[in-house]
Amino acid sequence: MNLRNLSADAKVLGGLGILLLALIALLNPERRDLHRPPVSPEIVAGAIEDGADHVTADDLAHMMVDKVPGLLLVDLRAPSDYASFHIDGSINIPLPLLFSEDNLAQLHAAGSTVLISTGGAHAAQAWTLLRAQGMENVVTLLGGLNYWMNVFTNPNPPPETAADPEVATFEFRRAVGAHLFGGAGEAVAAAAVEPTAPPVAPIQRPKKRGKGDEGC
Amino acid sequence: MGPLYKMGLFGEQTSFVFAFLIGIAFGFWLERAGFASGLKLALQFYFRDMSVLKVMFTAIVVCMLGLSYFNWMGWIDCTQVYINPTYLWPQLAGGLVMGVGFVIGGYCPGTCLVATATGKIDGMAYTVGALAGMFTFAEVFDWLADFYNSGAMGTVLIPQQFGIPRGYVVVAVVIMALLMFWGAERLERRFAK
Repeated sequence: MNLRNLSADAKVLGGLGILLLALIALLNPERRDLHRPPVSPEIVAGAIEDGADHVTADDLAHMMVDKVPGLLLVDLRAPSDYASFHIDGSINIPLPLLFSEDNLAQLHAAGSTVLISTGGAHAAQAWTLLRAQGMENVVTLLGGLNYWMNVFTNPNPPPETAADPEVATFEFRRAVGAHLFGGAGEAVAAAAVEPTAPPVAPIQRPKKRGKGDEGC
Repeated sequence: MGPLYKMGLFGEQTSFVFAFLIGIAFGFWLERAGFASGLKLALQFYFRDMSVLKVMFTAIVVCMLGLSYFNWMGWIDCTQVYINPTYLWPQLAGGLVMGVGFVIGGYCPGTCLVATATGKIDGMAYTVGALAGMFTFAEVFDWLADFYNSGAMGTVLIPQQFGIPRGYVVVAVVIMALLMFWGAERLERRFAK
């Protein structure tokens, strides 16, 4: 069917029809949703329920070993805590400064961001705020640095009857521990208190835009 | 209720299936609108066949009114619909590059694929050119990165940016579309051979 074959009357009628539809849409009381947060609480709660809000220490170690592109580790503790110990490659953005424009831009630019705090609670709270603002590709480190240290400095040896995956996990943890803390990866938790870590690295802005872009 | 994917009605892999089906439908209807022909597409620049403008604005109006009503009825939550973030300068430059490419080659990135699928040689040449352009862009990305990220404004919507209720924007776009349909047909009659 060719549009040009439609009679002029039909075109005018069609035009008036869609104009009428648009005018009726004016009655839509939508002003309130201009002020709603971009992400509904149901979606945020659903993500928490699905476990989409966190990675485990093993997950994070694998991501670091695999050199996942665009990975940004954000340590939310105070600068003094960060200076005494931090995960190699993480940057320090103390929680109160997280929502500054520059820091949010940095998070938006990252491919995926892992929030790190001492026990994981502050990271989880920050995650909820970020997610509610529409930030995606953000997760927390489950259990925070406490669990991280525990897993890699003192991995539980599997029982002799353990299946291969358990042994593999143990070997992986020991290897990561040895890499992160030196030695055999045993009983070096002292590293957590010794101020041996390098000074705070200047924040480097990742060049690439997030890979999480949707749409065309 | 919607967007269905974001509300968790199905997972990522199922969403690929839907994307595949919607993509096929999109290509099919582009072809049915006659957009697999570079000649037909180019005729709009001579004001002799304004189908592209009419089809695109029809799609915009239908989609806009549909989303408005769906949002009103509570069938879709428009605040959850993904909107491309605005990067002002690179998007202006990109629009210009695409427009010039459209005038020179007679296709846009979607229609060149449709033309390729229907066996048009010029469409194939255009597709190969587009792929070469993507490759080149990726290779020189580091050099362009600062510009690529410049003018970041986040998600910009006319209602929020200018404080106009969305309903007025909808009416304004519909009136604009109707005026363009009317003007396009006048141009077609005037430049017809």
